[in-house]
Amino acid sequence: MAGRTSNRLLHSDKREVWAVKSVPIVFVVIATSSCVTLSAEEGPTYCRDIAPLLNNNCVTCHRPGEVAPFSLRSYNDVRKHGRLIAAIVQAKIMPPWRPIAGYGEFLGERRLTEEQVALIKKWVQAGMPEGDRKELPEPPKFSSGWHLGNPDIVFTMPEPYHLPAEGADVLRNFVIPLKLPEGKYIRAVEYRPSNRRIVHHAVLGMDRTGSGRTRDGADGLPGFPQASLAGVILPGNLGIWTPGWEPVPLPDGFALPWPKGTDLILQLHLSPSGKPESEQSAVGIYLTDQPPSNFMVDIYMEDLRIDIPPGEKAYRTRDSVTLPVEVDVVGLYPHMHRLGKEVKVTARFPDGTEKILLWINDWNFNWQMYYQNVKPVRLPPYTELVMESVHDNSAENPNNPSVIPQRVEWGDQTHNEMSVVIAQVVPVNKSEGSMLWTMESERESEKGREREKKRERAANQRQG
Amino acid sequence: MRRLKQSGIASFTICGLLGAVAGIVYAASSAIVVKDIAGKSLTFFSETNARSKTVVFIFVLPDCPICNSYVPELKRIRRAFPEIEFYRVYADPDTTRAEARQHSNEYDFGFPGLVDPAQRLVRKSGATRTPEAAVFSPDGKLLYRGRIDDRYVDFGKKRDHPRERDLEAALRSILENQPARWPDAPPIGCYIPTKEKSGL
Repeated sequence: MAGRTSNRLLHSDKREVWAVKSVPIVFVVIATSSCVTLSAEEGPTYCRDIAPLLNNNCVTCHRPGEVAPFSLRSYNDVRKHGRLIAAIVQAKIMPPWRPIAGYGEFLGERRLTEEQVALIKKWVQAGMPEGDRKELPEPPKFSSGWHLGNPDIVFTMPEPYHLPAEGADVLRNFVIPLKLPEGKYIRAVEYRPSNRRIVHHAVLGMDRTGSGRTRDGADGLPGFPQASLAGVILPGNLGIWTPGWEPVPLPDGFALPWPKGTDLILQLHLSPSGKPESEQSAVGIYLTDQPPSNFMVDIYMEDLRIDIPPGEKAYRTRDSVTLPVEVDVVGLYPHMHRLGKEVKVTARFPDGTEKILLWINDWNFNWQMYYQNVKPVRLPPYTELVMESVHDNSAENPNNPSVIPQRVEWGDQTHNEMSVVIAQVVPVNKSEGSMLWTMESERESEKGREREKKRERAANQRQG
Repeated sequence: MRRLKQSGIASFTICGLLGAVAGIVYAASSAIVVKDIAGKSLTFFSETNARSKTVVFIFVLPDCPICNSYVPELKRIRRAFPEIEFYRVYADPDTTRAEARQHSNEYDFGFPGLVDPAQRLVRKSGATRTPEAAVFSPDGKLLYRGRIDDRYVDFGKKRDHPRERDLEAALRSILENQPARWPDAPPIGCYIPTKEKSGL
């Protein structure tokens, strides 16, 4: 049990010790140097140093009409929130980017360097001087319409979903009956919320089973509740939207066929704001005539044995798969619910070496992302992909939905848990694609049977 | 140089005079006069004319999402304590009455709002964050200052249900003439901005 005392999968005590030991020395150096050498002109100013930093990292969301609570576009706006900004960037709460630096390089990375954080802190401590307005950079320009131009198909929710003023966050799936013209494929999808104050994130998927349709509106409101997406997540960057995210079309050579009768599922995470709100989202679909010349396979790693005793601080889960062919990893989509704490994806190569592809040690259900590699990561044949995760079911975990911790089993509702990583991979040799596809289909149908058993058992327990 | 000196003396004299006048006013009363969002003047902390009820100030900012998320909870607390006066105070000196009114139209607090451009209520209470509550006895003694409850653990980290309802517990103690328990942790929310660093 000794191994369970920490909720981290790997320790980094070295750095912490260094930091503690060096604090007094650093403090003295700063204190002395600021007295002797630093004049007001030499310190950071808003116009020269802070405005460019905020424009590049924060203003996409922190501007009027966007999701973030306040604007950070003018000196006065920024000065007012200066202390808050310094505290939040130091605690790495903002910008919202969970992966640990150094493990994978992903599109749309939002991260401040240690130097940038120090600069903001120094500016706030110096009294937040404005500086010379001539040095103010051009304000960034944002398009107000669709980022990718006019879509070929626009689907708007036929009626708004009303959210009460308070209460727990709502996770709801909406069913979109999408029909594509003959000979067309999807190359991009753009999601647009109508009320950015309450839409925390959106996940898009496809449902070929028609089960979403039968559940739609069962409780008298549009859509149906479910903490996980009620379908298969769309490939690449098409599947997930978070505030500030700009849509990315599928890579060249890829397109998504849309079989007849398939529904598009839009899952929304909605947060009450303090007053009654409503949401009526729109989804733009971009089409192409070009059939796909290559295809991606979703490799599901999921530990279905998950069964967390109440009070357990560090419950570990694991799943792995050995890929028989050479692949490029396009992206990774980790998924846990609110007890999730840590998730790591490791590639173990046939020669015994390994590489961590993604590592998050401060999981936040509120900031779910699809992590698309800047450059696809190539894995030789017979590489083992390993997913490991840690859940915290103690009362000290503020994200625990139960005040008194309860036993938590696998399931797709908020009070259940999951431990999933989807790896989207492309076979390097197209001829080997079917082998990969067959392997994954077999794994998935086995997992599907297990999930069905678990659902049946849960239903029986409810009835009994 | 000569002209400068003269104007210096003149302004010194004026300042001195103003200071003396202000001193007289302050010596007579520590009263704080603020306007509500409709423009009506209200007087607090008057020594000659003490209020009859315990007063709660809730410091807010119109663009603080944590404040706004507390609106239904504050309304409920207000209803539970009809014997106590509740005011929300727009703590940013730049918030205009028009902005405060617009915020009130959007969010239904169920108790009156005050604007505090000189931040006199902010300083009197010692509030530093929003939302933060300050409770005063009818004769102007600070009985409680702090968070409403502990549902926010950190920025972006929120429990579904609070474990400690600090403000409610404090008000209950106060009504029973018991000292209120002040929470150990500061409220999670925005810092109250000051007009100019040097000015306040």
